[in-house]
Amino acid sequence: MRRNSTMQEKQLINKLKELQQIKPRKDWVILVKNQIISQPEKKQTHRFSDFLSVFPALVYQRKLAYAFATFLFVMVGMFGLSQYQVTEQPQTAFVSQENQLQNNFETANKKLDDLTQIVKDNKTENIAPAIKDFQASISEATRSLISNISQKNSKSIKDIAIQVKKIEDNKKQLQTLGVDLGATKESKDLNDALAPLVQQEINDLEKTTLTEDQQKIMQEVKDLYADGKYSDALEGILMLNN
Amino acid sequence: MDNYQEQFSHIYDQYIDKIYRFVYFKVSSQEIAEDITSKVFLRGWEAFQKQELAQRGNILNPSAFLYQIARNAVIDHYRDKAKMKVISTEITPQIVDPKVGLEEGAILSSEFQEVKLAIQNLKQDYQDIIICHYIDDMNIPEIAEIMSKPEGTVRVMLHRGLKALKKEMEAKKVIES
Repeated sequence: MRRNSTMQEKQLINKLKELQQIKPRKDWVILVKNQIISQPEKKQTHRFSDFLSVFPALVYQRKLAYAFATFLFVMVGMFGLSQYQVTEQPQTAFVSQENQLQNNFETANKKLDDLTQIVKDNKTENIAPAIKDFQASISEATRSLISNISQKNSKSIKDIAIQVKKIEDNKKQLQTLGVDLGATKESKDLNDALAPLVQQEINDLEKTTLTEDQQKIMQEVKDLYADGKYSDALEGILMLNN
Repeated sequence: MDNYQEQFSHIYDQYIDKIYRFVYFKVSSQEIAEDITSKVFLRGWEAFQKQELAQRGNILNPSAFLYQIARNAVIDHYRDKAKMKVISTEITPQIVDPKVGLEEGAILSSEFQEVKLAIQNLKQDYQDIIICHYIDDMNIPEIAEIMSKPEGTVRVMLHRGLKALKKEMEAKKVIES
């Protein structure tokens, strides 16, 4: 009886251990990681909210309110409102998030072009700062991409794919000149940020009817996705969308 | 990426599967598990930043730190939604996760689903200990730290929890037959 009970317990433990196979979705894991790590520092927000929190308290300070009102009367009396010329304000450029994403990718490509030119001109002392510049612009583009994906802004996959392909082509050109940017952290982050986008695109394409050739490309895209080569998979998607 | 971002990135990679599983067995769906797990890591990241800024040091035990946040997040979830024991899984054993992924669907055979439902019917402390020890492969001292309980108490609770789980599963079989 006792032995039977121990056996049952062992079976139960084995069943529990088998539940270790349950894992979260790969694309979700990457998306959440990117979203969390790109969160701005809380410290600054606290400081700002602390600063703002002073105002409600001040509103109830009668003496201060009277002093402020008196000051306004004096100022208006002395100069008159019409005396103040409205100076031309600098025009604020409102750029939509989608355009921001496009701009950031274009900037990254521009920085890469600059870097290529510097390498071609053999200005060795400028190479390191130019690489740093390019990496910063790639990080910025990655952040915009993550923000776009998380806010479900449907920036055309084609535009993103074209920009990513251009970056990859430029990198290859640089490689022929002896500068390898392939394995940087920034490139990996960009690659990872593309995962949810590629997954979504695969899901959408699976719902459409594909020709035999397209099905072959689709299989390659899926294999690349499974290998974590999301930017290469995106290139395949670009071919399918054309 | 800054140094402390990298540190947290390593912590994330190391614990995301475990924390997800820990939460998954305590809630009804994959969607809720994902939602709570992302909140856990977000809170963890915020706390990590504060720690970094305040002391320029590291969180000494990220495992205990994250599991503690996860436990509280699950409690908050049930408190907010007032779902705790409103619907007994015993009465409605047919309730299954409505949004199970393909991969997960293959793994979650009826037998696994049965174990999951039985775990959800246990007391919360028993759930925590069983998930941590048998599913997330943690040892007794680690669990004791997370639960702020003496190791001896955790051992006894693990034994009782397993017994209770066995009882739950046997009871289900009786109901089904």
